[in-house]
Amino acid sequence: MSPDPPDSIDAESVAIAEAATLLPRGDQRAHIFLEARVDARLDLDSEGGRNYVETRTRGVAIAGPRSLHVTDPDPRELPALVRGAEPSPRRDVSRHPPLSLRTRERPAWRGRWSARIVQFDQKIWVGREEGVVFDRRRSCRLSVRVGTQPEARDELELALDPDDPRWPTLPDPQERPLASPPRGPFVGVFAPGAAGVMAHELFGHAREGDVALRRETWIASVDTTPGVPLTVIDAPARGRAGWRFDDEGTPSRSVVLIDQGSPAGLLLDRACASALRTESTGHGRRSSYMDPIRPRMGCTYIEQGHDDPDEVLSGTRDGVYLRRLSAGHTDPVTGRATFVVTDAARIVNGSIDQTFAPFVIMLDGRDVWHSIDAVARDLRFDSSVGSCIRDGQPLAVSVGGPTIRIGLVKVLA
Amino acid sequence: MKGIEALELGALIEHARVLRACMTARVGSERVELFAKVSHRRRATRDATCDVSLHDVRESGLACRVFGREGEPAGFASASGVSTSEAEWVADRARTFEGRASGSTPEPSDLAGERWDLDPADSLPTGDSLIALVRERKAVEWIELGTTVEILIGSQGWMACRRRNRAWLLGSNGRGEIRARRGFEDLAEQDEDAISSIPPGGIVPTSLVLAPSASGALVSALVSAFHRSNEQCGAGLDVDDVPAHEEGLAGGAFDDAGFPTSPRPITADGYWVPFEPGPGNVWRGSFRAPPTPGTSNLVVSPGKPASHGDCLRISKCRVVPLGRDVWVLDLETGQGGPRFAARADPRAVSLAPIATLGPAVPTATGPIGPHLVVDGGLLGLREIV
Repeated sequence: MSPDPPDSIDAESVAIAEAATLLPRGDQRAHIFLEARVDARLDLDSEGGRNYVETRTRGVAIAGPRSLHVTDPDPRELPALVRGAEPSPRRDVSRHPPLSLRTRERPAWRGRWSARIVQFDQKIWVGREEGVVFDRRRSCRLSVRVGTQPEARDELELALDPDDPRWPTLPDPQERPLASPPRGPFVGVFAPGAAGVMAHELFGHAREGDVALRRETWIASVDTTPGVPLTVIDAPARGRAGWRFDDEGTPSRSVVLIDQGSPAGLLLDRACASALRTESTGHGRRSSYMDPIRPRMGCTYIEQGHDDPDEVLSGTRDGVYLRRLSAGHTDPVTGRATFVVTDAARIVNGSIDQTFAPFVIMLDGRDVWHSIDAVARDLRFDSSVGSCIRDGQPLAVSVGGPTIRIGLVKVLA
Repeated sequence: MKGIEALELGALIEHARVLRACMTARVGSERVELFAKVSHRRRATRDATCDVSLHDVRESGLACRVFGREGEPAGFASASGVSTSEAEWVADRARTFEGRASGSTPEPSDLAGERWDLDPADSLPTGDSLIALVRERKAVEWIELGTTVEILIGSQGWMACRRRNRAWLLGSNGRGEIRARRGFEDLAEQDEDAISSIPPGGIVPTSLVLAPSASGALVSALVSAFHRSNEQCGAGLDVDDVPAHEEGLAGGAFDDAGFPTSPRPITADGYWVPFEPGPGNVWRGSFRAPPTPGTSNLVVSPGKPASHGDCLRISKCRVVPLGRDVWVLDLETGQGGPRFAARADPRAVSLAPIATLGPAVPTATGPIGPHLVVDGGLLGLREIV
C-alpha cells in the first residue's frame, strides 16, 4: 500500500470533480471511477529462459443504475458522458501516468527451478458529489517451482515488496517419496498462514453483503456457541494489495466477520449498505473499469489466540499438518468448501512424519465452528497468495492465520 | 469519430492502418503486426435488492508483434485504447523483445490482401429492452449481449477482419449455468430438462448426466491434458476442433495470426490425435496475449442415445489437476450443495463409456456439446460423508 499522492492531480482530479457535480443527487451508487494500471509478468528458469510481458490499461466507469464503462476517454469528455453522450475511443494522443514496473535481474538460486512474478501497479480516482479521492494499489507475487518432482508441494508462493529487488532464499528441494493421501477424516493442524485460505472461503464469502442479502448463508443458521476461539477479520488496508479507499471512493475499514464464535459484521459496498440502511464498509471493488461493483474481501485472517504453536503440534497424537492449501471453492449457502492440499504431512505422537502426495479436503463450516480447539499466537500473512475470482472478476487478495487445530477435516480424493 | 463508436468497419480499418503506420515508423526496419479490438457490450443484471441495473461497456485495445530477422519469437506488447500514443508505446515495448510471443508462429505471407469473417451487422438491443427482459424473466440473473470487431494487419500489409455477435445468460436457478450463443436471439427461454433426479442419501448413483456446461469443463480439461498424446480415449468420445463452426463463440475462418483454418480431429477411432501446432491453430486469450497454439471451438459429437435411470445430473463441474495425472471433479447439483465428488485417473475417465442425450449446444466453458452420460463407477464417484 503506497499512499502516494496523484502525480497528475490537475488533469484527472479536476476533470472528475467537474463531471461528478453532474451526477444524480442522493444515489449512493453514483460515482465516476478512473483507473490507470500496468500489469507485468516475468517468467524465468534455471536454464536461462526469460520472458517479460507488460500491458497497460486506462478506463472510466460512470456508475449508477445505468453505468457506462469506457476505455481511455478524453477527461474533457467526462461531463458530456455523464450527461449521456455517446462515447468514442480516443484516436489521438492519450496520456498515461508514468507508471513503470521494476524488472529484476536473474536470481542466484542453485539447482533446477522455474519462477514467475506477477505484478501490477494501479492508480484510481473516484469522484462523487462530495469530492474526489485517489488511491494506489500495488502487488508483486512470486511463485517458484523447485526441484524435479512434478508435485505442487515443491512450489513456493510469496508476496514481494515491489520496491525491493532482492530475491528470497529458496528451500532445498525435497526429493523424498510421498505417502498416499489420508483416507478418512482426520484432525488437522494448520501451519501459520495456511488457515487463511480457509477463512477466506468459508467465512469471508458468506459475509459478503450481496451474498448475504440474496440468500440465507450457512452462518445465518449456525448454532452459535459462546466461547468458540474463532475471530475472523477482513482488513482491506492490510496485506499485499491493500486499499485505503474502495472503488466507490469510500474509506476502507476493518470488519470483524466472526467475533469469538458469533457472527458479526458484513462486507458492504454502497448498494448493499443502502439496502440495509447502514454505511458502506469500503469493500466495494471491481476487477477493472469494465466491471460492476461487488463487495469483496481484501485481507481476510483469523485473529491470533494465546496457544503455544509448538504445544498445539506436540499435543496432537494423530493427525495431519497442513502447510499449504491452494485452490479453494465454496458454497456459501451450505457452508461446504473444498481445497487442494499441496503440502501436508502426517502427525504421529505430536511430531511431523511422512509427507503426503497432494489431495483434496472438504471442510464444513459447522464442523470448523464446533471442532476448532486451538488458536496459537503466531499469526502469519501471505504464505499462500493468489487471486479470488467471483462473478468472473479476479482480484488480488491476502489471507492470514495462526497455527490452528480443527478436529474434523474430511478427505475427498 | 462517429464510425468507430458505431463499430463501422470502414472507419475502424482506416484507423487501424493509421495505427500500424505509427508502429512501423516507430520500429523502423523490423516487421510489425497490429491486432486491434473494439467492442460494445450491454449487460442487464438483477442486483441484490432485485432491482435491475444496466452496464454499457465500450472497450478497445491493441497489440503489436515485432518480428526479428533471425526467426526468433516475436516481441510483444499490448495496451488498452486505440490512440496513436498507445500504438507508439506498444511498438516501443515490443521492439525491445523483452516480451516474447513464445510458441507463436511466424506471420503468414502470400495471403489475399483483405479477408473477412463477419457476423451480421445487427444492432445491439437497447438498454431498456434488456432491462425489461430481465425484469420479465424471474429465472434470469443477467443477460449480456455484445459485438466485437477484431482487425489484424500483417507486415506485408494484408488485413483480416472478424466481427462477432455473442450473447450470454446466467440463470438464477442456483445451478450457476451460463448459457452462451452466437447472435442476439432470445436466450431467456429456459429449456429445463427433466433430468433432475437426486438419489436419497446413502445411495451413489450409477451414472452421471453432465449438462453441456459441465461436460464442457470436463472435455476441455481432458483435451488440454491429452491432445498432445496418442493414448486411447475410448470410442465413445468423439471430439473435433472446428474453428469456423457457425455456432462457435471462438475461432473463425482465420486464426489470430491470420492463417486460414480448417477442422481437425482431436480424437479419432478411440485415440487422442497428436496435436501439431502450426498455422491455422494459434489463438489469443485476449488482445493482451500473444497468439499461441491451441484449440478454438471443440465440438463433441452426439453419440448413441442413452438411458440415464438412476442418475445424478451435474450442471457445473470443476476439474482440478493434482500432480501429473490425478483430477478431481467437484460436483454441484444446485440441490443442497456439493454432495458427491469423484477422484479419477484421467485415463480411466477417458475410457469410461460415454453416450449422449439431446442436441449439442455451445457452452460458456468452451466446447459445443450435448449432455454426456458417464459411468459413475468408472469416474470414482462417491458421496461426501
